Amino acid sequence: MLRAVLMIALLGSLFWSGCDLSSPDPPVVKDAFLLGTVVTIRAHGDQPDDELREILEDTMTLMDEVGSQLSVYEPTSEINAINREPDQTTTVSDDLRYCLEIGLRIAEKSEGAYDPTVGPLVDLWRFYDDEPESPPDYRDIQERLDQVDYRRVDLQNNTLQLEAGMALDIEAINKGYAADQARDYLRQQGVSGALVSAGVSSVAALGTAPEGRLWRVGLEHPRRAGEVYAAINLEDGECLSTSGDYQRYFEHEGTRYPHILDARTGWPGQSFQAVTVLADNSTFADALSTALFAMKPEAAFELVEQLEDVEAVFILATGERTLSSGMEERLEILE
Amino acid sequence: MIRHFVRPGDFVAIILVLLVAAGLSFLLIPGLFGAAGQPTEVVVRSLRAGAAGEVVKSVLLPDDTEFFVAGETGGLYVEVEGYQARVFDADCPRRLCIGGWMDSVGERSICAPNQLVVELKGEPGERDFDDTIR
Repeated sequence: MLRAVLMIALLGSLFWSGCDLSSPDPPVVKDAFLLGTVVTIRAHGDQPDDELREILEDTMTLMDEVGSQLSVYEPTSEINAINREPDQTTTVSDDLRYCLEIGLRIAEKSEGAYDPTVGPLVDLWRFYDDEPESPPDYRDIQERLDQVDYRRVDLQNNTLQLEAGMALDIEAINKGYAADQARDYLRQQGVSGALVSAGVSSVAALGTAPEGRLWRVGLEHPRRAGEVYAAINLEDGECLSTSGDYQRYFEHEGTRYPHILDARTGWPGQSFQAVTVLADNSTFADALSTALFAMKPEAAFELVEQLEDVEAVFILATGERTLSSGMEERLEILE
Repeated sequence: MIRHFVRPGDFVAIILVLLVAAGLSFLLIPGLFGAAGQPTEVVVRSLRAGAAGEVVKSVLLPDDTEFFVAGETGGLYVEVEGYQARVFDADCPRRLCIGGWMDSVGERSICAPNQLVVELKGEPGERDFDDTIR
């Protein structure tokens, strides 16, 4: 009898240990169309799947609210309220203050290549309305440049004042900020691991994937859509952001005009096909990848090397690839 | 102590039990021996308001077929060949979703204007991606 019990116990334990060897439950995936793009969150934790789905639903709502109030494309947004009366002193939300602080820091680091006051130039180029057929008149660009200058932003704690004619535009970073907010919220809710993808160009990692391995993200080639040329495994808290010349652009007389403007010249950056930044903050990564894309290659390489805990992959306009010094050990080239 | 409970002949039984457990694992736990990393399904989901990620089309792999899925600005044309799939035509302004073959679990093509996601499902392999960025 004892032997029979032992045998049953052994069989049972072997069977269940076999089950443990299988992959754990896949993450719960939630995606939604918000902030003008597709947002996807993969998450897992000790919670039942139904509870996780509710948490993800709330996270999406949070991202939508945060992103919308910072968007120039939302008529009732905080940004648009400020832009209507830029020279008035305004008390801004903590969300906007934080984004502006990051934006102004990157503006300074990039010597104005990225500038959160780029609004007047973006209005002129109209990349977001219809695809433009030709660049604006050179004189119009020069005129608008007078209204763009991050050094004329007066931000003291939550008190903001611009000058007449200026306009904020932080579209380059508001999705990254929404991703940071989502990750913080998921952590507060006790979610063990999550991968937050805000649009197709920003991704933020929390914890690990279900099997305890690192979240693995593929980098698509800028000229070969759908083809992944490299992969990076993200540690807890790390983020990736890509700025490229292939999402929004138009071609005129054989020249490609991407939507990312060098705010110093008023013209699109044309040195790179794509710049991908690895950092520990999505807002920062979004701002930096935009700045680097708008810069000249040597200055961009130098800036990344100056910054701590930041790495980057540059694909030059010629198609050549350059990695920052610490990226070589992180990037797995697949081609 | 163990000698009191397990006789020499029992070791034969233990080996048998081990073989049975291994067999059960093989049969009952798909993906443990070999299927990981190979896509098993192409799924198209709609993200339009109210649909909330609803699967609007799925094709089990392998297969060789083409299909159309309606979306907000018209729709997408998807081609399936063996274990891979691609968006080969689209009714959308910029047609950024049109691309090369997807052949890894987790790879996907997003058409924001149509609010559609085409993705490969299956048991992830070691070299598959949780997400892609471009």
